[in-house]
Amino acid sequence: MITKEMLKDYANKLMFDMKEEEYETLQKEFDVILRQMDLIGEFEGIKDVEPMTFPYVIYHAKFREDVVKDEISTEEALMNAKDVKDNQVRVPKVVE
Amino acid sequence: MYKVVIGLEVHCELKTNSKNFSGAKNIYSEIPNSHVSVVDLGFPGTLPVVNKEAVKKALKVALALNCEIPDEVIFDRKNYFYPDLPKGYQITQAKKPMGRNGYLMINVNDIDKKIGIRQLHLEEDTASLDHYGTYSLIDYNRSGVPLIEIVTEPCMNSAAEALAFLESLRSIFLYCDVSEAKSDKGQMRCDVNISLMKEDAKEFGTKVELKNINSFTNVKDAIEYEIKRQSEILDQGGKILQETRRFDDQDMKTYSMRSKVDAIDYKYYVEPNIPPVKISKEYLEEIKKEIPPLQYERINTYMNEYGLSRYDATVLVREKAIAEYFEATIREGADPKLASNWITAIILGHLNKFELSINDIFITPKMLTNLIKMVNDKTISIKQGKEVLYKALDEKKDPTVIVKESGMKQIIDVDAIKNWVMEVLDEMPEAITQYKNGKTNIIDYLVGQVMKKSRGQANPAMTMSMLKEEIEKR
Repeated sequence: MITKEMLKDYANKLMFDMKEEEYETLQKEFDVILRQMDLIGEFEGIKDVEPMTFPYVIYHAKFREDVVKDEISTEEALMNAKDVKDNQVRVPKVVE
Repeated sequence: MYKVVIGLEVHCELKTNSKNFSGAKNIYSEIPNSHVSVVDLGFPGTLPVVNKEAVKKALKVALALNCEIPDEVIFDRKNYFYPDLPKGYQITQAKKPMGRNGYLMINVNDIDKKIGIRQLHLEEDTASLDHYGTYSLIDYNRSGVPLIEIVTEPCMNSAAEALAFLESLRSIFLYCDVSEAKSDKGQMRCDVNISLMKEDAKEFGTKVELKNINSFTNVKDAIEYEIKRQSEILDQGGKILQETRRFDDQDMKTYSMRSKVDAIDYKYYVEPNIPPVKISKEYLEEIKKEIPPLQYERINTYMNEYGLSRYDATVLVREKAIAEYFEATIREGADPKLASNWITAIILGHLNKFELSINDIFITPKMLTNLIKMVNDKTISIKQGKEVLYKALDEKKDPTVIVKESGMKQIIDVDAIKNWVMEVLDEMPEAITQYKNGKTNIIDYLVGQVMKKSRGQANPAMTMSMLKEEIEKR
């Protein structure tokens, strides 16, 4: 059961907020999703099935050799930054 | 009194050419943002590609720590929001890490103890942040540097054990050549989990996590402070709060950072951009061959086979290169105890004085062995041998050549020594009286006098026994 309080808590942790009616819509959608999950949970032998992360069985075939390449310049690295000081990205202070 | 329970989480940066998931150079640089790629900056559309060498080095440590290694490992995402993490998640391992259920042997006060390793995983380091008055600056050079994390079981019971574990672990990193493991450079970092329980209690007390302690000395101080703080609370009937604290090395105290209720939910899930990695038995065998005998094993060999003290053995294995030098000397046929004495007392002293590595010195294990053999067959005395070794180190000269050139040799001619013994005793009748009255250590003084007359070339053991013999006669 997903409550509106839980949604608000998650929104807070993910640093966004919504209107009350948007929370209500989202809550209704979650109810549907959870009911569907419950249905899947009733499949016979479901507990013995490994969770699927990749659409088919695939393994990491080739590692990268440990060679330096594809570095970008400091100028390029900082090009998109809103605020730069001493070749570093400046952000509001994150510790007290 | 309470029983202290400690578990450690140790991070170590791996020594590779490039980063864990990108081709940018893995190197500490004074110039910020000089070794970065689009992957390290978390640019949209970029994909991680796993560094072969980082996987190999992580597996090497896992094997050295006697871990079980699964035939398939998986990378996961750990999600949190902070400026040091441009992607918004760290690629790490949760469910199927590189190693599990290993152990490391430590020795504290001559008692061996097995420290359980819960897991070892491979992940990436974050960017580094510097904090100023009203802002923070981000340098992405460290972003993506390969990092291994080792989590122990909560099985250490003192600061001394925690420290011994860290020292042993550091030696494994160095012996396996996977990291420089310098804590002052942040290459080795440590979190401490600590709780106190009554001696007869069945369950662990509430644990407190001490974050990011940046030196081994601080680990010891932080643990000792925390034992004191928690004991005082429990003595007064209080309860320990489950929380994360940081250690301040200025006033040597710990401060609360966040309590359990504020704990972050990292929402771990499988990293979809990296498929599972198969680890073959053949590959593991190949890596195993590259692991040299480790400290713990070498200390035991030195003590049991060469008869060294634990102290001397520990000094010799502190660095792999020194242990290898010592072993090469033994292979050349040197007496192990003499080799150990001269390496620890003279050669290591020389290395410290001039800040050299053992590979820098002119004296080879073969040369040292020849010198030791000259002492053993009494060509020169121990005292002369030491002088030759000092000279050889200073002048970068073969000790055998020094002995030849200086005409140095030990006098074991009975008649010559006897003459000096007689002379000394004739000159000092009062010493004989003192010796007979029980002041037996005056004999050392008399030996010294004979040595002086012989200009250091008389065999001291022979001198001593002849002196005693002659005094008895008088």
